[in-house]
Amino acid sequence: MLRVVSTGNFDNSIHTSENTMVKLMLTSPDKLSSKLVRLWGQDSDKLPLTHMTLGQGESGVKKVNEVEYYLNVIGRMTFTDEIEYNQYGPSDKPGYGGAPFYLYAKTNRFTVQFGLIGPDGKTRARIMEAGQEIPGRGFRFTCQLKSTKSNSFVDPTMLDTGKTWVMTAPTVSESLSDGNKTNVMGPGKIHNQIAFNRYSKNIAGNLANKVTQIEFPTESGGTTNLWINEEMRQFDIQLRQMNEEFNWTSEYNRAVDGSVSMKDYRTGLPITEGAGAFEQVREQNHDTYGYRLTLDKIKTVISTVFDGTPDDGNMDIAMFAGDGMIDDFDMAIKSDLTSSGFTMAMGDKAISGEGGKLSYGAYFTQYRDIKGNTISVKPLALLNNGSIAEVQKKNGLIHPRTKKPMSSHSAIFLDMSTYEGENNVKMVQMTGQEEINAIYKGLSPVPASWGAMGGNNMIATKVDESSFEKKMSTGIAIMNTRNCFALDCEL
Amino acid sequence: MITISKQVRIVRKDKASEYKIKNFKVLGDSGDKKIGGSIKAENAMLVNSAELKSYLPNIIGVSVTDPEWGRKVDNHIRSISAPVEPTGLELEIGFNFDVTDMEFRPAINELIKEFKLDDNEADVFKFVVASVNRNNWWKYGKPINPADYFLWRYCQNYRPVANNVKDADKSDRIRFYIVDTDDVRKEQSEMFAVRQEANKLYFAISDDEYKVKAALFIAKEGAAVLSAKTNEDLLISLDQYVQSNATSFIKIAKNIDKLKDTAFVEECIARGIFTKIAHSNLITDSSTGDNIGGNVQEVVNYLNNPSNVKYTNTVKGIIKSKSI
Repeated sequence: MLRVVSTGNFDNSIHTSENTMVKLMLTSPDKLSSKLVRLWGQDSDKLPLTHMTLGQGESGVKKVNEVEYYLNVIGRMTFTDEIEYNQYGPSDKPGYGGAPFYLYAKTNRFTVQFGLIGPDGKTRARIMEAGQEIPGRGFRFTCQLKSTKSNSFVDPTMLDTGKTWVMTAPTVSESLSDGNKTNVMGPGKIHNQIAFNRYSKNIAGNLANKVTQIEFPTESGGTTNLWINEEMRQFDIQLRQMNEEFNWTSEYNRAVDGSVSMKDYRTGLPITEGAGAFEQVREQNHDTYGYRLTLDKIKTVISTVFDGTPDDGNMDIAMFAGDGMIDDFDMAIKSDLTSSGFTMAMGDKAISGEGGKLSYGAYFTQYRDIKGNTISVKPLALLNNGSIAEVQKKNGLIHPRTKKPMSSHSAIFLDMSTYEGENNVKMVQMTGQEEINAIYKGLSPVPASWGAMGGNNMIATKVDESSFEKKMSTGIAIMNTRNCFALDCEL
Repeated sequence: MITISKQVRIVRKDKASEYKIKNFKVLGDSGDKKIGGSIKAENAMLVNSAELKSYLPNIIGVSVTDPEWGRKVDNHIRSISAPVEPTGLELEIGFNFDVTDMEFRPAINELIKEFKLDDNEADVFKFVVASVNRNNWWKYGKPINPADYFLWRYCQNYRPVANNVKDADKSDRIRFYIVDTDDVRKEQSEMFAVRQEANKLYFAISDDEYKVKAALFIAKEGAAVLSAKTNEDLLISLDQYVQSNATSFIKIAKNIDKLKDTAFVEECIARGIFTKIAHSNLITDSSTGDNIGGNVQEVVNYLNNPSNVKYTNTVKGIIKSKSI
């Protein structure tokens, strides 16, 4: 059994110095091994959003020149419109016996000569006269039922405010017909903005050259006893993880009038934050589930995610999920299989082994629809151990069955396809402000890794301290959120 | 058979994020619009197995004697996903009562025995409607629309749905609220009575310029007093306040004689002699910055304290000079 000698201490003083090292027990005389035991595992698998954007090079990054940016999008052509006003009472019989009836639509989208289908999906009419704007009542269209039955009429409730009608193909007489018009849809704009993150690493005294009795792994695969290397690794991991979480969870903070209420007390300048991946997706498609996930619920999600997709089966959706959700996804499918009598078949896959040793465990990590589109499960560690998860654990917001934080039972379905050769998910950075590093050089020696940055990055102070300053601009852009979905477990 | 129809409407709370508002033209009617699963709501429904047996077979198409009943009920409840459109989701939660329906006869008999009712349809169901909680009507009749009734019952325990508009802002997690048309009518009637009383009180004080000004100061509409050029301006400002804050105005008008000191402190705040610290009730002297009270009542007490008479007279002098 591994005996833990120390779980590590936390130091929150501004500067790291020799005293800090003593406090962190890095000068302890006895040791079991010079190798570092990482109690909480490696950190490299915790940055999926960073890897699929910044990690893809230019194709995963979009450069902008302003804090606010927009994406040109074009939605699905729509032929529906809502009723704005109903002039008929419950006992009226609009359109009875082929008489004209009035339909008041919100906009002038409907066109003369075109057909209409009512809210019941059965009532069919033709628009006989172009829309006429009536103040406070929208646009009035004169229509006639297509039914040949002399006693048919429109149910007046179908003309109630809020009911939706849809326009169908125009029909005209054989000769002497007049022309009509077709609607066109212009591109829309999705607005978002980037944020700026700032991190500093302060050191004092001769910390740059302090050696410890523990060997730390280096990026190149070797080891080092220089403490500053480990401290800088932690600094880098911390900021990457924080930025990763930020890009998932941040929320757009600019008011409709363009103002940003969060301002720096010292400078009075606005502090902007953009809509992260969660907000962008939740504002498109969102649902919740309870004690356990069912296959019916998964199918509801999937039908939304793959709604309107082409038949080529090339759509690739990643389901980024916490461990709780991954378990629920597997259970939902297995429960359905069991109830459908596939117990033996599933057992064959779940139990394997040879030589008298058995192995149990096989898990569903992918779902394929009838067109061949796939949803693949991708673990998202921050939902299990991120800031929100930690807060939920400490405050008892845990799932009663799995005892995991509620965030662990969340999933976000991201469309990872490419559109016109462009990645659907991109990191957005400001040109020239992508990632700025500088050394605040004081009397304290700077580590070799800092010095490698060159003299241009050196700035000065008289105090026996130096610091490594980092500023980054960051935001996340999802070009097409229509095929994305957020699914949360609700207590 | 007696049919007692009743509709409720589940509507979306006006809670769009800044991002949604900014992008409404493109995003439109998307996002957080579904009544979905919830551990609490699911459990609340599943413990009522007798209730579920009474009307769920009509919804899921499985008999209670079917070996699959338990699993299918569980699956149905845990798969709820009901979109609430911008116009709301109207639910029929009424019932059909039939005294001859043998399914309900044992419960009806118990009711008749316990409450000594006459065994006729009209009396029995008049009693049910008047005395039995709607959540238990399933014992005596069939929902007109079982699916709607089931969803309404589910929403009573689904946290994102508030049971009425008053509770809608209690939490950011609330995304919908239930509008009961009967309640709306009752509320409109109550509001009408309140507005009538407020209007009577308005006319009662409108001839007294001091009272009009005092009411406006107490209502924290001091700016309207300071900018008024004529008595008519004051009356218009007070009328506007009455129309939108009838209940508050009634309290002020009924107690206007007792609130003279409060009106004085509010006038001092309006004229900048005192300063109310933002986002708190703390009040300070504007010229010295000294704290003179944690709220208006404390300032009233401070000014009425005989040991502060010199300070009080100074303030009154300033007010008098400004009022001229």
